[in-house]
Amino acid sequence: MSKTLPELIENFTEESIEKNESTELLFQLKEKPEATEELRDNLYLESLIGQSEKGEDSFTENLLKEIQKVEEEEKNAPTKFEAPSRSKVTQAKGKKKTKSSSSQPQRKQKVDFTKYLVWLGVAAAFIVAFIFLSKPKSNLLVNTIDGQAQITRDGQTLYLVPGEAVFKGDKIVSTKGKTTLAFNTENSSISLPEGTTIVIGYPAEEQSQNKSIEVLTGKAEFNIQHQQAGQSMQVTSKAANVTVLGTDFHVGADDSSSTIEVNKGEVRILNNASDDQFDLPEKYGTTLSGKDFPEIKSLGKIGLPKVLSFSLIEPQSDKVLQKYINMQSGSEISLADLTEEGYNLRANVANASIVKHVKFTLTNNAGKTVMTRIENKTPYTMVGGLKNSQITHDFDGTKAVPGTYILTANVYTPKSGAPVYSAKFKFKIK
Amino acid sequence: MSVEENQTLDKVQAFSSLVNETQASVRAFVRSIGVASDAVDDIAQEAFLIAFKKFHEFDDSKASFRTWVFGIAKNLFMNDKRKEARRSRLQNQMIGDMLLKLEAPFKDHRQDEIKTLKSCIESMDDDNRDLLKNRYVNNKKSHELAEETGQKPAAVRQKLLRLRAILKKCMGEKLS
Repeated sequence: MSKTLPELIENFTEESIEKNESTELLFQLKEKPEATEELRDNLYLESLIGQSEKGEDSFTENLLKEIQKVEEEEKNAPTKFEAPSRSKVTQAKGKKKTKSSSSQPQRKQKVDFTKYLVWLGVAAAFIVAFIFLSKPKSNLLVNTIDGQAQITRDGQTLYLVPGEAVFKGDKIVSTKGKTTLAFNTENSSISLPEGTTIVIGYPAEEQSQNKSIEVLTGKAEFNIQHQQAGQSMQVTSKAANVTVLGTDFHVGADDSSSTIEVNKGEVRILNNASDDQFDLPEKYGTTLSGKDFPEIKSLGKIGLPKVLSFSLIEPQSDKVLQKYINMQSGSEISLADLTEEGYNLRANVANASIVKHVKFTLTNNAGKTVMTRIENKTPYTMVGGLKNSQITHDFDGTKAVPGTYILTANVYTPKSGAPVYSAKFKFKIK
Repeated sequence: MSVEENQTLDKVQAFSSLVNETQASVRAFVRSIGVASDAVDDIAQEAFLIAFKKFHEFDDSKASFRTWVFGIAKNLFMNDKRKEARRSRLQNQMIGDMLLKLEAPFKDHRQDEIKTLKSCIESMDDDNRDLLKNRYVNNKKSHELAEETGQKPAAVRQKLLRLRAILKKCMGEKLS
C-alpha cells in the first residue's frame, strides 16, 4: 500500500525510509512543491528541538579546539602577499617574500639600498612589460571584466585588465567573487566563480586549429556562440573532454570528477576514464567520476526518465563509434563500420536513477520480433555484456543483418506497471 | 603578550561568542538541507572553520552571523556536490538537491533560536511537550509512540505535523 506524504516525510526525518519510498517521496514533492518546505521545516525543527532538550554538548568545545589548530597553522604559515591592482602579484616561484622574513635588521638594510631597489623595480617592470609585449599578436582579447582575475604567463602573475590579449598556456584565476570575462571574438564569455582556474589553449595565430580551454579547479560557466563548420571548441578537465557544439554551459572540475550542465545548445562529452562518448542536450547535466556511465539529469526540477538518443557500441573495441554517438530514429548503420562481432545499441536514458529497468524489443521490417531483453543496469544496452565499473565494460553484440528495424525501448520505474517512457527507434543496416 | 597575540585572542573570543549563539541553528540548517543526522556536526564544524578563516570578511550590516554561516554551509555543500563524500552524507541526493534550493527557515534575525523555541515549547500543554520530547529527544519513531499511547501511527504523525506548525508560527512571531 502506498504511503501518504506526511508518512513519507516522517519516515525520511526518522531516517527509516525505504529506497522505493524515497522515490515515491521524490515524486510527491515534485507534485507539491510546498511539501518540500514542510520537509525542510520538519528536519530543521527536529534538530533544534533535540538540541534544546539535550542541553550543552561537546560541539562548541571541539570546534574551538579545531580553531586553535587553525590559528597555530596560520601562525606558522608564510603571510599571503597582497598587491594593488595592475601590479605584479608574484615573482617567479620561490622568490615570494614573507612578512616574517622582514625582521628589523633586514628592514635597516632595505633602507640603505632604497635607491638600488627603485632601479631594480624599474628594471623588473621593463622585463615584465617586455615579456608581455613581445608575445605574438593574439586574436583573442578580453574585452570586459566584471570582477577580478589574475593571469599567469611565463611564471609572471598580473591582474587581468580589459583589452588584455590572452595566449595559449595562460592561466587565469578568478580572485574576487564571480568574475565574467567577455572576449572580442564570437560574442563569447566565461563566468568564473571565485577560485576557479582555467588554462587557455586557444591558438595565438592558427585560426584553423581547435580552440580549447582547460578547467583546472572550480566551476566555469561558458557562453559560446555557435561554431562555424569545421571548427570546434574543446573544454577539458581531468575527468572529461567537452566538445562544444555552440552553447551556454557550465563545467566544474575537481581532482576526481567533472560536472557539465548545458543551458543552451549541445555538447559532446568524452569520459577520460572510460573513453566513452555521449551527447548532452540542452537543459541536461551530468557528473563524470570514474569509468561508470554517468547519470544524465534534467536541470532544475526533477525530470522523468527519457530516452534522449541511441549510440552504437562496436563490441570488439567496446567503444561507441564516433559516427553513431547521437542516433535518432531514421539513422543508417553501415556494415563497413562493423566487425564480425556485429553491433550493440545503447539507449541514452536521462534521469536513470529512478529507472527500474528498460525493456528492449527489436523487430524487423516484417514486424517479427528478433530479440527482447530486459536491462536493469546502466548503461542500458540492447545486448548484454560484462558491466563492471572496476574494469572496462565488455559488451556483447548481435549479428548485423542488412534490413530495416525498429528498436522499442520501454522505460519502467519501480512503481510503474506500464512504461513511463517509450522510444521507437527506426534504423537501417546496409 | 604581543599586540598580535592580543588581536588573535580578541578574534577567537568574538567568534566563540557568536558560535555559542548560533551553533544550534547552523546544525539545524545543515540537517534541513538533507544531510544525514550523523554527518551534521562534521559539516557544521567545517562551515564554522571556514567562517573563522574568513571572519574579516563578515559584515554585520549586511546579514546576521547566522545567515552568513548558513550561506557558507550551503556553498560548502553545493561546491562539494560532485564528490562522493557529499553523496554519502546526504540521505538522498535528489531530495537533497530540492532542499538545497530553498531558503533557510525564519528570516534573517539576531536572536537565539534555542531560547525562543524553549519559550514556545513551554507554552504548550504537558501532553504535547511529552510527545515532542519522546519523538525528538528520545528519538522514538511515530509507530512506537502510537503503540505507547494506543493511537494509530497516522494520528501521531498528524499531531506532530500540527505541533510543528504551531512551533514554527510561534517562533516566526517571536523572531520577527
